[in-house]
Amino acid sequence: MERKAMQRLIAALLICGLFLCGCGRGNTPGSSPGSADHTKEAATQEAAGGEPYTITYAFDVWVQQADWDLVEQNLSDIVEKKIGARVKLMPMTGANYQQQINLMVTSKEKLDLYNASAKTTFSTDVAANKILGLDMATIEKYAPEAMAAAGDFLKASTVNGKVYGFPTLRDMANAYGIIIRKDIAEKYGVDTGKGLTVEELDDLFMRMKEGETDRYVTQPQAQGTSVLDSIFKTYDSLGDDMGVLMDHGQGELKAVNLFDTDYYEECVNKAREWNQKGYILPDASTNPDTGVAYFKTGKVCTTMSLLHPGVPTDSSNMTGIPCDAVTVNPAFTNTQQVGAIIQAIPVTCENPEKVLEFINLLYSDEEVYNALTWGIEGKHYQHVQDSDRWITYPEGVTADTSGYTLSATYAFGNRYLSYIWNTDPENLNERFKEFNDTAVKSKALGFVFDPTSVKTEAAAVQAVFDEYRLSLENGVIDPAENLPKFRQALKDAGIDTVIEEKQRQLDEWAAAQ
Amino acid sequence: MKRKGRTIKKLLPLYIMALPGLLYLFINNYLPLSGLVVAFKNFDYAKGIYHSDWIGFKNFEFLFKNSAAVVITRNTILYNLAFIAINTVTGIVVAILLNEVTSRKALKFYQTVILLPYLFSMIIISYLVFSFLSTDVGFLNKSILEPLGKAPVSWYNEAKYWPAILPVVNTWKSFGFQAIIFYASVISIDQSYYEAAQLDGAGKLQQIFYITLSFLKPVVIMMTLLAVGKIFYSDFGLFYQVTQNSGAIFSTTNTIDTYVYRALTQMGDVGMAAAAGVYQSAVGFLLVLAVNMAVRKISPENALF
Repeated sequence: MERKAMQRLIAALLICGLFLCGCGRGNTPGSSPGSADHTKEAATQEAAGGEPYTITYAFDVWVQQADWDLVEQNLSDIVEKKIGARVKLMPMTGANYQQQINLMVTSKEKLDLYNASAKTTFSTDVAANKILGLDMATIEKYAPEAMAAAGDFLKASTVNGKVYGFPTLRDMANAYGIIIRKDIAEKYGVDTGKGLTVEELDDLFMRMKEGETDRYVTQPQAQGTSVLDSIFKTYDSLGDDMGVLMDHGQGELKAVNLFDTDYYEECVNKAREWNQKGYILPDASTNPDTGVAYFKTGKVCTTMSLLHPGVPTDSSNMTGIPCDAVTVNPAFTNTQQVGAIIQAIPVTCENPEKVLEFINLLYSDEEVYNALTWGIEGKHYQHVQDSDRWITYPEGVTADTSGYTLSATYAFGNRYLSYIWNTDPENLNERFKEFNDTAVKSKALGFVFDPTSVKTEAAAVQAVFDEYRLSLENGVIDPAENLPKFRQALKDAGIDTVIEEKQRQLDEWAAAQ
Repeated sequence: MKRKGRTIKKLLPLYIMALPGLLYLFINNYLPLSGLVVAFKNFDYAKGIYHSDWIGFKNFEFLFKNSAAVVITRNTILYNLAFIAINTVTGIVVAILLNEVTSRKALKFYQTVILLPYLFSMIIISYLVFSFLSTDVGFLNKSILEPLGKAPVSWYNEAKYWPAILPVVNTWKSFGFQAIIFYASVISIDQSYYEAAQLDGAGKLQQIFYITLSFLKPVVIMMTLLAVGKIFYSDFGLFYQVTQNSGAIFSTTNTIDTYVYRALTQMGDVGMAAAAGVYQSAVGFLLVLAVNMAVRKISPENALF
């Protein structure tokens, strides 16, 4: 009998719950948030002298900073003077950044701006309506300077004529090659300014292998990167490597199966050869310390790496070993590279116009940009005498005592506005600009693939990638045996279906240009 | 009628006491169940979970699309069966051994030591394993195979070793926890049983076999049932971190969880991720029902429900 009573109680609870569920749903009206009514309301409220709108901005960072509150306060004061809005920063660390954003948007928590990435889920986010699409007229009205500064790069975040965010201006391209210790470069007579061909690199590796008996010749940039994507890359991945444009996307717009090409076979054979000859750190794909940590030990001569003008200084600072960089394949850019960080407005934003004005400041206003990137003048940085660009720690502050050492010049707005830390060349911004402007641009720059209709196949192919690619492309397993298996597995998983769909979208996109 | 009213009255305080717990369970475990619908939908952030379009079973397809489906299902189930068997046996053995320790101090020491690995994060364990298996500086290659004059083994690229490595790592990590649970029931056995058995001339082994083990039976069955319910899940840290996500050994290390993670991190598709979860829990639920039914047939008093 107790049991029956218990059952009744549970039943009652369940019914209550269902009722509550229903209420909850009833309360959220069908109209999508961020719709015209909403924004108008917000705008009029503010015009009537109400509280200034607070822009909640979420982004991912490597390390949390002690002085976020101070920086936020300072930034808000500056922004309020200029556009009458305050800013709330929501920096997040770690792998669950993406998930947190998903939860915030799904549960309609307050969020006005966040950093998305074309290297992860930007295209699915657009397809799943997570990001607000803005028309050109709105952008021209509220963020004209950001639009001008981003220029052609805005294509990378434009889908079907609507703009889904602003790519931050930073290193918009990547060159491919190696980071090399300065002492080693001198010893083997490497001209770092000139770059090397693959044959010359082969020869250099051979000489280093003979001469440096207590060091490994080279290593991948990090666990999970490979010889192919650090040195040999000459194709536009078109997002997910399923169907790519060869030759830096300079030929016709035809998506081909990268893994069936001779180019791919040559690359993995070369990687295998280097691995067999002992040039590459053993366990390169699985060693969790691969990269900076290993370089620091002094046991490797070079690191295979993506390159841009800031790389030599960054590596020297990070590893404590003077480094230089040698290019093997030239700087090249595509949609994913440009869109590596896109400042996007989620559909749940209530005042997109105000947020656009804020974005405009990040692209055009030195004071705002540097207040976010470098912190507060006199507390976190100060100008080096006689220079309006160079900055350094204020008197008595060091890297260990400073409460704000974010220095994420890549993460916000327009890095050409950035002050330069005095360990970098004073003209670093100009170098970046030149690097970006001279980079080879893929013909498909601006094409964003939407995998929704073939997501079953895309997921299956992705799983096959994970099984074979890294070990093949680092020469860990024998291509003679495994490449045919890999190719077959891709076919079985349905890569052809994905490529077909991509070609269809590519044609459509090209026709609309 | 009258009696019934009285019973409820008598039990009312108990129900009230249980209420916060039940509410918690309801809010935390039952309310989110309504979100399961997302597995059958084409999720759209603007429309929300409940108003997105239905697409039937399309989200489930990727789980069965290629040859990986067989491998990941096999790996998940076989590893879990092995883990259940090994952990139960080692747990029981260690619990019985602990029971024979007479010094209080020594007992406390052993309990702490065997529980310690259970508290380690898998990331730390993955580094411990790496220090054993690294090709150039690992303990196995450097300190055992090299002095023996054998060629070093590239552990992270040889699939055939992992069906042995993973159970060893898993046992090392989790046997202590199982042992403590079993030990708790061993010490609650009334000493008079053992005394009676001794009087009848039963040896140590006979005592263990006929007394300790029969008293442990309900706990063992309960723990096993709980483990069976999770047989379609795998310890993500063990299969992803400890293997250093090495593709060359997927044939013996890829499980449903790692497969889903790898397939979907790039796409971030909410519906497909939910579909994988629904599939795992549905099969786990059916398995628990089946095993419980089997237990009820064999020894009804030990069935969970």
